[in-house]
Amino acid sequence: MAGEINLLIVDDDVNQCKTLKNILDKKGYLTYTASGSEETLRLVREKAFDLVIIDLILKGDKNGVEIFKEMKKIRPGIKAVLFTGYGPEEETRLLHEAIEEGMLDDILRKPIWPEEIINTVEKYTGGEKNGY
Amino acid sequence: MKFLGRHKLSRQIFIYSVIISVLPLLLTAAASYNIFSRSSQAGIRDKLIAISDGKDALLDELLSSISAFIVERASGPTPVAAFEKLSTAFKVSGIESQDYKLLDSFYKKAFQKYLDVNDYIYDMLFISNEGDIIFSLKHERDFGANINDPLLKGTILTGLINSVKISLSPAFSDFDFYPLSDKPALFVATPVFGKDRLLGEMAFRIKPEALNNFAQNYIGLGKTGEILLAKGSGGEVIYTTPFRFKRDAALAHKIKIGSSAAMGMQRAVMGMTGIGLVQDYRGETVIARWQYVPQLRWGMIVKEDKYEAFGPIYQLRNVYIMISFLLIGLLLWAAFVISRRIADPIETIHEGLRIIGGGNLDHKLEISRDDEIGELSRMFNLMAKDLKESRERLVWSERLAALGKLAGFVSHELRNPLGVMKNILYYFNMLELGKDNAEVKENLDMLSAEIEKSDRIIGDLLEFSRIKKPIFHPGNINMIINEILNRLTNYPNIEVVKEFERDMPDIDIDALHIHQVFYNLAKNGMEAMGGGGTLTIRTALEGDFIEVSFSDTGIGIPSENLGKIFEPLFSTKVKGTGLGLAICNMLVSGHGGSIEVKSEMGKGTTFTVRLPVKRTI
Repeated sequence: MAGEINLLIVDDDVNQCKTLKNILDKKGYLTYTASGSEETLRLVREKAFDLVIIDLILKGDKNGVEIFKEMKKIRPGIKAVLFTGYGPEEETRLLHEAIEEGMLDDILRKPIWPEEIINTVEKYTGGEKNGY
Repeated sequence: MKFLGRHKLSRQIFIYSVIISVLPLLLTAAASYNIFSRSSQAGIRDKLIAISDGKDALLDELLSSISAFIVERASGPTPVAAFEKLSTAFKVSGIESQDYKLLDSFYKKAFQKYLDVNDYIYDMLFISNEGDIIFSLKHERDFGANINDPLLKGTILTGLINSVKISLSPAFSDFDFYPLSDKPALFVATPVFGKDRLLGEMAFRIKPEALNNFAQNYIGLGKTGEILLAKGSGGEVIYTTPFRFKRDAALAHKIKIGSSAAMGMQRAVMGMTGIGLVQDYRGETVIARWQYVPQLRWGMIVKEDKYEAFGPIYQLRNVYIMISFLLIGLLLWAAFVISRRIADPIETIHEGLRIIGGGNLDHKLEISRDDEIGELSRMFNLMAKDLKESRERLVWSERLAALGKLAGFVSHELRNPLGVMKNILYYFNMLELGKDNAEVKENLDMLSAEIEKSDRIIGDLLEFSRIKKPIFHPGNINMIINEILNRLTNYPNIEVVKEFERDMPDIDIDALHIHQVFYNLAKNGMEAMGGGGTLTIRTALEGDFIEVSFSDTGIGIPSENLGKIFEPLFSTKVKGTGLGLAICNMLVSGHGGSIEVKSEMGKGTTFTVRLPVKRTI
């Protein structure tokens, strides 16, 4: 479909990915999900995403900022937003690094209301495509 | 016994007290006793020497006067004439003749006056050159005899006359038994000269009383005092005067020279003079002065029994010993009392420290005294109280920290599943699942409400886990209360009364923290008055503290819950997480303040926050 907006949600929690995909798909976006760094990078190589929503901490995997750095190598100019909970100092440092690396500064705080994620997506993709 | 066995301190104090008090006492007593004893002994010696020397002088005088008396009489005209006439009458006619008897009777009368003049003269004799006793006042058995007769040969008289014949000067005989009178006797004799020749000897027989009276004058001596004379003869000491308590001892009591008894007298008869402690003739220890009497070639001793002479010294010694024992007893008692008085409270404090060190911070020292030790124990108790409080604070904050960690972990882990549930619910709403089915819609609404509630709990937990150290800036309490009241507008049937301190100073606070505390307290008060009521907020400057109280007219809190109300996870509210007041308490503590609650069931509850005007943390 021409003019469709492609989204990629990266979270190690499969249910989180799935339920967000349900909502965003319903909103008219074309939503992909990935639960690990390899899968993410494979998808990024295959497709140009309008926005990547990526969890900061993926258990047993690279963190969101590292994955973003590798995504930039594949597609410079890719837009990504982090979502995370309030975490220890380590996370705060990573968040600073994320902004420096050029990630969007609208960091989504868990627990995320579906409205928030819809608003953020609309903000960075230029409005909803497929009316709901 | 407790006081010397286990406690080192009291034992040391006791020992040192005893040393510094008892030793000087004993030394002083010993020194003064010693001085007294020495001077007393010296006094006793001086006394004995004085008496002894006096007696010696008296004896000398007595013998000299007797000697002078006889010499003077022997050269007088009457005795010389009498001697010549009696000598002739004795030789020519014999003592039984009328001539002699007439002369004898005449001269007896004439010479009787000598005896009257001198008490010590017992008899007077004329001894002719032939050795005949030609005259005697007493006419005893020696009268008319010859000194060379077997009857008189070897007697002291014969010895004396033979000696005077050679020396032609007056002399005393030995003192010994005189067999012719069967009594002890002493003679003094002197030559009698006619115009150009020696007529013979005149002799006085001296009464033994002359010596006895002199010796038995005990003036200056005690009850056991004695003055004795003795001669040395044939390797023996023979006493020539009676003993004080044995009248017939004269010439009867003998001591072998070289024996241990009567050493003083043994030395005296050998010509020595001295003073000291010796055994006397009885074997009794005496203090004695002994000296030699040259005229008689005798020894003289002046003595007193040791126990009597030194009696006052022994008495004083006994008094000293008694007083010393008494004082030592008293000092021991005092030292004991002092040591207990100093050491007891220290031991109590030591014991207290041990108990408190063992963890029992409720232990109190029971020392009620007005001195520094009392002050010390009061400070000790205060310290223990502070320690207990600060330990409670520490335990409290450790608990809170642990709880904070747990809360952080739990809320973190619950967020994702909760997010997923929210997503699902949102998706169901997008699908309008409840549009045509009221029952489904009701259940979805319930699910939504429960998720909201879970979300709020997680929010509270997160807030609790994220409490940070306060960052202080000057702020105004009244202004903060006004701000929170502006936010709390959802309670229309609650009347808010403000009683503010007019001169409220700005104080160092973390405005965000204090804001949260007052917001929670005001909101709690309002929620406690579901059916409406009055919330009175009062601020006041009380000394070094600002007091802020929130009084509601709500249902009140049961007294059994009041103590637990600031504990985390304790809640009486249906929707409460039990963290609100715990957070308030923590934040206020972080300011060095305190928060307390008073409540009466059915009347209402008052929370009072006290914040220091000058920052202490």
